[in-house]
Amino acid sequence: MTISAVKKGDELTIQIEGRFDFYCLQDFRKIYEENGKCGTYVLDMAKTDFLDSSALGMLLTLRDYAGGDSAKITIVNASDDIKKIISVTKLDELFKVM
Amino acid sequence: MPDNYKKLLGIPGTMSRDTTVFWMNFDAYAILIRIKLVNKKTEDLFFVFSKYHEILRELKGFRNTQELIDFVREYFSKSIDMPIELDYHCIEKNSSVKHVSCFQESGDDIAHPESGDKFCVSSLIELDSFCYIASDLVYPEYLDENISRKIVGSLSKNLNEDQTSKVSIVFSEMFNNALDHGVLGIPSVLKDNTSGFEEFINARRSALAVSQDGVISIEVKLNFLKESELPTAVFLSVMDNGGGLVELDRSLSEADRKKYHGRGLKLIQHLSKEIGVDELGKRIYVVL
Repeated sequence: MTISAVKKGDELTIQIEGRFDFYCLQDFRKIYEENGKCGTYVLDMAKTDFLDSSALGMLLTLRDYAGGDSAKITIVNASDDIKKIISVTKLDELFKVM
Repeated sequence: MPDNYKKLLGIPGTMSRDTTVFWMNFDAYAILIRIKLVNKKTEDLFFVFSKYHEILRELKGFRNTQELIDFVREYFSKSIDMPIELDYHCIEKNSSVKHVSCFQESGDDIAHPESGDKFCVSSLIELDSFCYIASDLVYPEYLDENISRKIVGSLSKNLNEDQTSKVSIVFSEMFNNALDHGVLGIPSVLKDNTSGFEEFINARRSALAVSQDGVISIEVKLNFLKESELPTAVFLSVMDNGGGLVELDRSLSEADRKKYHGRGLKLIQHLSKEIGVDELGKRIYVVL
């Protein structure tokens, strides 16, 4: 698992490579906290090959950090499997999935 | 257990750390083969487990018991760089015995194996319908962060991509529930806030570091149609000896949707064709 981020202006793009699970929490939190609050967030899941229920919880920690209901977070390049997981757990109502 | 599960589970077989049951359709009804390892390290047992998988793939075409025994003996002696002992027990074809019980353990019994063995790996192969069962008992000493991944890894050789992806999510959710809540007794509410997530991880690590009384029993069955390459059904069961769950019908309310936890069962339910929990809430089983 590798988590990296690129900041452009007020937009932070976080790339998650490999397994996104329980054990990514510290890295994931560190990366968005290090970059301070941004206006928009993009989660690039092009290289994410596994995502479990703890990872979904972590997405929500980011959402709350970014302002809760006013947070602007977009998930991009997710595989069909991951999209399915997001919609089954109704998270597509809280995140924009493209 | 509903009738359709009974059918899928098939005949109860003997489960033990190093015993494989070969259900035969020629001169014997079943042959139980036990490989004894001198060094019983976890890695070695996983290795034996993976060898059983390989043998399974080469099983077709044996004409009698002796051929199979010779094959297994040679296979292990070639591939394991350590002394092994092999013994076996035959059940005659005309025998009325259907539930084989020898080499100490049997059926769903999760008694500790003798002689301080801490990890059980075994498999059951039913030649008639090409079914395969693996049953593992995972003892606390071996409960680590990678076990669920290792088990899915060894299973994935028999599955296609779609099946592997479902199995890996469902299995890891089932296993983590059993480990976190069943064996370690860590409540999900810890995850109610951001820092709680970290507390949860820390609680899990420190709980794993001290010895636990818990045990997790895992059962896997792949149903194959004759001559088919891929299983038509995957049966997974995970049981722990903790307090038990489980509210299966829980739906995600508006408020729940923003919580940091509580999605595992939802995922399992969605990805499974069938799901069930035993009366005590200690065992959850799914069909994918």
